[in-house]
Amino acid sequence: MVEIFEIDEALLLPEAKLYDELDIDSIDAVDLLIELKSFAGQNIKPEEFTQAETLQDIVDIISLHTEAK
Amino acid sequence: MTKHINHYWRILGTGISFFIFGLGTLFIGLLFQIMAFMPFINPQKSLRKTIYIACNAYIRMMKQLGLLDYSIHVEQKKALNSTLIIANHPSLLDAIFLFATFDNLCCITKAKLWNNPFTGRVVRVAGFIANDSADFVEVAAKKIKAGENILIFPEGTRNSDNQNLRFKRGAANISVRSSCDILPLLIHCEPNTLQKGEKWYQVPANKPLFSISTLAKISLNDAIDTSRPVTLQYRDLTKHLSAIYQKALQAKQHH
Repeated sequence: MVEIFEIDEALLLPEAKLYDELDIDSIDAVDLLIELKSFAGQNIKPEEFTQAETLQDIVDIISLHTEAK
Repeated sequence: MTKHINHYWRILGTGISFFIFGLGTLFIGLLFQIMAFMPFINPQKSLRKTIYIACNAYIRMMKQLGLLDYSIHVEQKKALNSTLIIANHPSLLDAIFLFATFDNLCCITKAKLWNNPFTGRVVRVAGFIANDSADFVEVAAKKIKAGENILIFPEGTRNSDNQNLRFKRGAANISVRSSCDILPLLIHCEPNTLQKGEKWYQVPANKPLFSISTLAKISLNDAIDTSRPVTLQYRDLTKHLSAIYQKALQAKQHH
């Protein structure tokens, strides 16, 4: 996150709101999804990803998919 | 005294102009909805040409009515393709001036225009892009790659004082995704008129003068490091564009 969005590491709390607090938009979300797919598997659906509101939500989605493998 | 009369005339004239605009868009929209069923006609292309002609007539009419003056100095109008055209957005009339400048323009518009009974048909047939659709950046990038010129106001909405512009990333998203050049236009309006939140009848005490000019064309590779992750390129380019406008507007202020 720090690398591809230049966000201050101190702001990256699990409950941080992606869209309001971290200045991420829907275009960024698509790019983030592509990035995550490279290590979390190809199964993440864009629909479930766009529902994520916080960093914790994203972590949950990823762990769901890595466990399922 | 004459100053007061002139002011009242411009309020009345502005009302008449708005009425004509409504009628005009309604008529053109209906006409092209019918034309869309006719063979051998490219409705999108002919509508864009019609918008160009109508907007030219419209700004001339406003000038003749004594409502405003304008000077448009835009070079490279011809042979412009696959270019993203951006502009600051001080007034409701900006888009009309730009449609009167370029004869085949696709425009990113606010979503409200699509549900508006006057403008809804026009934006659809003209192949414009609503800024609320999930894939508007993709759609715009595709159109640019196909050779179209797209107009977007990076601020996303009208500004309040034409200073300290706040650019959203949409313009940069489109440019980075399509690797296209950017033609920045500078709109200046003195005194300000038809700003955000103003009613149509809040006409300034003095007749406004619009001036539209081009800033240096921006090549993506010169502006930013295109080897960085795209998410950073969006941010770099947005900052770059903001800085260009900040500088240009400040220079204009000191004149």
